[in-house]
Amino acid sequence: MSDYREMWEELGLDLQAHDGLLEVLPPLYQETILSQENRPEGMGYFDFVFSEIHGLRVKELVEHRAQGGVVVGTFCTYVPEELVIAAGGICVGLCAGAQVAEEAAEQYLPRNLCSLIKSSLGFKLAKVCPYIESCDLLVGETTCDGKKKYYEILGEFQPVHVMELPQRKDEVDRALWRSEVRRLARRLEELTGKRIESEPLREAIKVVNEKRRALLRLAELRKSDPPVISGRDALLINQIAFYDDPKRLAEKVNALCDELVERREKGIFIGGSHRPRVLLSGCPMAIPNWKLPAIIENSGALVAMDEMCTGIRYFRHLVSEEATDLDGMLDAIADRYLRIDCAVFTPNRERLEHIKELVRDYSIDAVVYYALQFCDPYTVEAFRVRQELEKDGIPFLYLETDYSAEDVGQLTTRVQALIEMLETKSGSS
Amino acid sequence: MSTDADLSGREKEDKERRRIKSGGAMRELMTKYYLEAKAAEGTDRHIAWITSGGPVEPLIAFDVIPVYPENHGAMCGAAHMNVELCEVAESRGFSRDLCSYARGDIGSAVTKGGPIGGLPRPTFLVCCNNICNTVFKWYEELSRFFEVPLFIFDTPFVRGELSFHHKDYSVRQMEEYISFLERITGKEYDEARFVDVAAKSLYASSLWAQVLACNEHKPAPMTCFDAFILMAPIVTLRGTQEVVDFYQGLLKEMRERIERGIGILPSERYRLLWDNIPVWYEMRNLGRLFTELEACLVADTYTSAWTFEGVDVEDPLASMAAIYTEVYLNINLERMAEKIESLARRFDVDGMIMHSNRSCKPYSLGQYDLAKEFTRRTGKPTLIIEADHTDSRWYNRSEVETRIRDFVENLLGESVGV
Repeated sequence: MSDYREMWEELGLDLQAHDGLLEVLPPLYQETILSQENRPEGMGYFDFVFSEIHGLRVKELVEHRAQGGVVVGTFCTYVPEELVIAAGGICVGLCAGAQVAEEAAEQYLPRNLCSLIKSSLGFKLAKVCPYIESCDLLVGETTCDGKKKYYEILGEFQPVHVMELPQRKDEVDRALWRSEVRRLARRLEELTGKRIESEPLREAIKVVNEKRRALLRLAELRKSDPPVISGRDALLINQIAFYDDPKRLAEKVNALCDELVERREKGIFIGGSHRPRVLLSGCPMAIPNWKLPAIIENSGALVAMDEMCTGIRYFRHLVSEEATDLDGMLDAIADRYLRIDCAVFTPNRERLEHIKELVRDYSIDAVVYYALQFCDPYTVEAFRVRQELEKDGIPFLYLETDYSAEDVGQLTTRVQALIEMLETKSGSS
Repeated sequence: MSTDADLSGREKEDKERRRIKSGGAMRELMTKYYLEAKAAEGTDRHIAWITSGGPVEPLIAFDVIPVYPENHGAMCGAAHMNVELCEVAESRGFSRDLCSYARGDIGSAVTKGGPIGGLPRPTFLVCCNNICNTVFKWYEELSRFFEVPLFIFDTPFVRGELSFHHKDYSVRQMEEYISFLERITGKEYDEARFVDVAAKSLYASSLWAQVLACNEHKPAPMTCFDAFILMAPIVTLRGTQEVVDFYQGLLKEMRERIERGIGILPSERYRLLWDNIPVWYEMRNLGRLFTELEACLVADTYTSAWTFEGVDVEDPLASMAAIYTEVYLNINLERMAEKIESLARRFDVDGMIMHSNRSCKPYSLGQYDLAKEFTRRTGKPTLIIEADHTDSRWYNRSEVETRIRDFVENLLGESVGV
């Protein structure tokens, strides 16, 4: 990585703490991602982006701001990226995936709060995240009890706008959400001093849809058995999609997909013989949280699909491009985002149906449910996911964990037991 | 540990003099309520399980019997029976980190366990997230378990003032709630009846507020531990005449105690504010400790959550919708800080004890900020103790008692100069 110390210093990072963080990442990346064999060449771009995670992309954000643009940080898939782009901004996902400054975060937050929120605040308090320090505005949403209050605490440090996300999906909820999307649009207009016009919004819808289409194409290729890409690589791409330039990302994902098609035609697969295919379902996995996918794949299975916010939930639905005026586009955006089937919704039948659909379409042998400790929506919903899947005879493994490495041994044992059971089952059938 | 048998005749007489007599009337009222509710099971009468912060007045107006799993959870906790119920839910796959009210309730639904043999089976459910989001997933499971309809009331989180479009969202759901009740009960909405119920609810709530205000007096005629018990009727049956009658009686008793100078503690040296849900299984021990330390818990943020104001009889549904949206647990930290500061000043407290409740995120998140803000605003110290409202497996008695003792004897002793 080039020398970005001056830039980091100007952003107000704690350079010593930041150095410590950057020392940890490369060996972890080497061990988890780069050590995989027979990776497609197209992954080179994503390896490069990751190697420059606090460098080149941050520099782009700094330059964008120097030219009068704004940077908006988000913590959830519910914040419409299209609005930020149409307002001349860059949208970056800020969810954190590593245990950083947990003690400092616990000065503000109780212990019984999920790692994702604690870690996000930890990164802020420790001043080690150049992304959050580059943001002109943070946009939160009322997905869970933890976040409702977390955003208020975060507001002590930076401007925060919170979208009121309804927890149901009836007509009154849609009306509320549509007005919330408009409220965000007004907030962005205040931030930039410019109105959001229909043409830039139309273009932004296309740009983000193109990103989603590219990710959907990659998702489609993951149906291949034997596999053409590992679950870890696919997860990495999804994670990078939250902060990379959307047009460039779409282009690179499409190029990778072209290569994967070619490799498949030539019979080049990553796994060799058949491996048990796992659907990962549950809480999001922000960079550099690859703990569970690494355990699963190092134990001999493949993560064939991820039913999570850092997986297919992020790009599954497109915004309708049929609207002709600004109002219609805003409604189309609101409607698309309200279709996301996060566990905070009640009832949430769509999510169960979608999991079953993924099990069928991706020839899934078992579902591994990843729940962050203290995440009520996903831990409770696990109960019914398990019941539904077991009814269909699909093996289900519930794993509750956090960002620490302390439980790696225990998780590995449980995953290995599942895989052995699958292999025995497969052998006997 | 001393028992009644060790007390002298004079001490017994003093204890009896200080005992709150309305406790008997309350137990009678609640026993009658639970008997009626249980007797209604399997009859034509509708029984709705509802969250503690949910709008109960429409249920009363539609002659539905409201049943409160949280109240039942508190009862199971106080009876030291909730852990075994939680274990039932855990054995079925629910996380041990899920709220212990939810786990205990699920366990009780499955086993009919608890001090009253479980709650009567609901014919439908009403769930409002003005107290937390966990209730949605919890009630969704109940809905599947009992195979009964569930009405969900989603209250927007309030930052600062309640905005017009957020209020409108709540009002529209209140209208949906009424339509839901019409469908379920087959009865038409009777606004006159609803206004009558809302007026009784408001009146009972104002009586309750006056009861709590009696503790502004020194010595305080009750502690908030008494209020935690005496609040059961306002939580479960507000909107009925019986509740109005009960709180009239209780208020009369509190005022008489003030007139006669009867404090709840033999000696009141310190006055404290309590934050969060009680540690139900530990009330007796903590009560003894505070009595010994001459520290009276004169006010709290929990019981005052049921002191509603501002029902507009011209527009009862809309005003009720706003009231239920702006309850204590659904407002932002700035407004919470204002509330605790106001309680501290009104009740002239020497410090605050905050229960960091493993089971309750909305209550416990932000307590560190609130503690600092409280001290900044009032100059008074705070102590944060860790526990769980009904799962005693997360409670370390000796540690908590040592910390409370240290806080009261050392910190408060110094700050009030004794």
